[in-house]
Amino acid sequence: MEWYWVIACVVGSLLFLMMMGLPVAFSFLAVNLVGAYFLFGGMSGVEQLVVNIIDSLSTFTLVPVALFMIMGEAMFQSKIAIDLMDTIDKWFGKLKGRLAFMAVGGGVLFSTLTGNSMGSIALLGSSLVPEMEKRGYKKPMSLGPILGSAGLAIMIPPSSLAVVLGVVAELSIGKILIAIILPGLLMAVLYTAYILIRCTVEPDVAPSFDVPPVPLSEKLSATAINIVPLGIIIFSVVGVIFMGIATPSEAAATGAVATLLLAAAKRRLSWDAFSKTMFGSANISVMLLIIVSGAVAFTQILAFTGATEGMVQTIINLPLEPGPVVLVMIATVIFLGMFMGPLPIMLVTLPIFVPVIIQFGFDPIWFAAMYLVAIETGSTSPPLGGALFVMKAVAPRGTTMNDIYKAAMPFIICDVLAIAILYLFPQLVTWPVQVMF
Amino acid sequence: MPELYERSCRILSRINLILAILGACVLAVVALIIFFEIMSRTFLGVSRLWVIEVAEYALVYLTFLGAPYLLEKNQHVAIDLIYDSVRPGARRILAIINSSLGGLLCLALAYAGLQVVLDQISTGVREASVMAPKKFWISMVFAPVMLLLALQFIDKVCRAATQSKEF
Repeated sequence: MEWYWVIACVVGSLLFLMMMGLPVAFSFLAVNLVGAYFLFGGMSGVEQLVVNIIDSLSTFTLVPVALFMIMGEAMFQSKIAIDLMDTIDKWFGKLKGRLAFMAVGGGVLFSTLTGNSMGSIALLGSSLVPEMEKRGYKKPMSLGPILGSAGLAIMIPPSSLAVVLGVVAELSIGKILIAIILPGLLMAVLYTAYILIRCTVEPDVAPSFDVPPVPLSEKLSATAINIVPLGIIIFSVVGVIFMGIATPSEAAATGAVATLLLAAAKRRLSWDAFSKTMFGSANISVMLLIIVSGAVAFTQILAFTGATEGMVQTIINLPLEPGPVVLVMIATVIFLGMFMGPLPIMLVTLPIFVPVIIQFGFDPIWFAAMYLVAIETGSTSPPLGGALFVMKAVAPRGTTMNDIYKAAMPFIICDVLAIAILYLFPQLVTWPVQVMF
Repeated sequence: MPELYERSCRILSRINLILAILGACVLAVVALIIFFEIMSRTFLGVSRLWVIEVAEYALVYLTFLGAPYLLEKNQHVAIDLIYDSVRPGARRILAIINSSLGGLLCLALAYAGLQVVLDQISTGVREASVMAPKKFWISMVFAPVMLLLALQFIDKVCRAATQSKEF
């Protein structure tokens, strides 16, 4: 069978099952089962599939997927996140777009503690949007900054999706985690610039209001108590990798334990909070890992049939420059993000895209950074980006999906701008990696 | 639904929860042993090779132990683009088709998983690693969990077919 028929059958059936509503993990398993039966020699092929699934999970590089979840859950369960917002609130004085800037600041700080953007949206949305509404903020300036900045959780370590990307694409997880820091901060700068410009040109969108003055001593003490300790957590993840104390996979464990110890030091780690943290993070990890196991076997089937090789050769031989092909790949990811969640997109597209990128001679880490921005962009893109519905769930009553779509648009443009900057200046991604490794 | 059926479902649900709690415990142990390995290596200069290996095997257990609970609670990632946009009647039919497919899939995988474990026991094959445990110790979680998942899917088919509230 020609490779394109294999792709059409395998990927087509997979997408069909997913669209029917069968959970993604079981869609992968169903396609793998049929593929293994017919391609690997009947029942012995299915047994080989079982062995492959188990082997794909018993991989140390997948450990951070589970351990990064502990960090995020511990932060939310112990309410460290709320302390963070309170402290940021103290530092912002009377300022146009004050609460919108707080959303970006909070988003960046939360991103250093959690790899899950949905949790950030839920927390920022439920804590900031009611206050924004009360202060007369228009929807684009109340919902938009939260949608944008919460997505930074994907871009700033710890990022579970970055680990999944590394595992599925067989790239260095440590390099990816270091490479995405500057792109994440670039996105935060773009969001801040947009808010500043919009509030200056159109002050009504985020009216300024009086805030009671906070003495400097109070600001400093709140910072010392609530923000400075976060440095320990950031060090326990990124610092230990930089210093060569731990591998990226091990660093997730130091991050998880440091977050739990911080919560305990703040006397917020009750048995209830601890058990909810472990149970919640185990559940999310299962969700991710079972899909990853199915996807790894799926990749093996694609490779075995020659479909991956056939597609790579066809793309390479297209009468197109490699650069535009990369942009088409990124645009595809954003487009798929309008309808599908980040994980299925990654698992379907990465096995096809990454070999092409390597064949073209591009740095796959550079592509990975742009890819993650595109994943973030897709998740906030109408009509069905996942982040939009989380926002709808926590937004005040009367907020329509149309309000959310309109609010997301400027931040999607910022994301696209970030991709363009990364495309034109790959050094933003490659330089920190070269310094580190 | 008949009382006996509901009672069986409650037992199944209890098993799912216990396994999910065990999975959470496995995760906590993984975090702790890796953390202590780093501390031990950094401050005492002592490294334990078994830590990485145990963490790898634990991931297999963590993943499969929690899967039936998530299915019961409908928490597995799914794309509900079409599912949510169709009428309740069609949604019920989709649920029956999906769950039937899921049930058959899991039964087939449970059977294959059992065969794999039996093969591994009979051949005595070991992992090619430092600890070199017998392979079936790692694979043995697969078949029973697939069976539990199949039962969970069958329950969903029954509930959708009999128009129970949740399916």
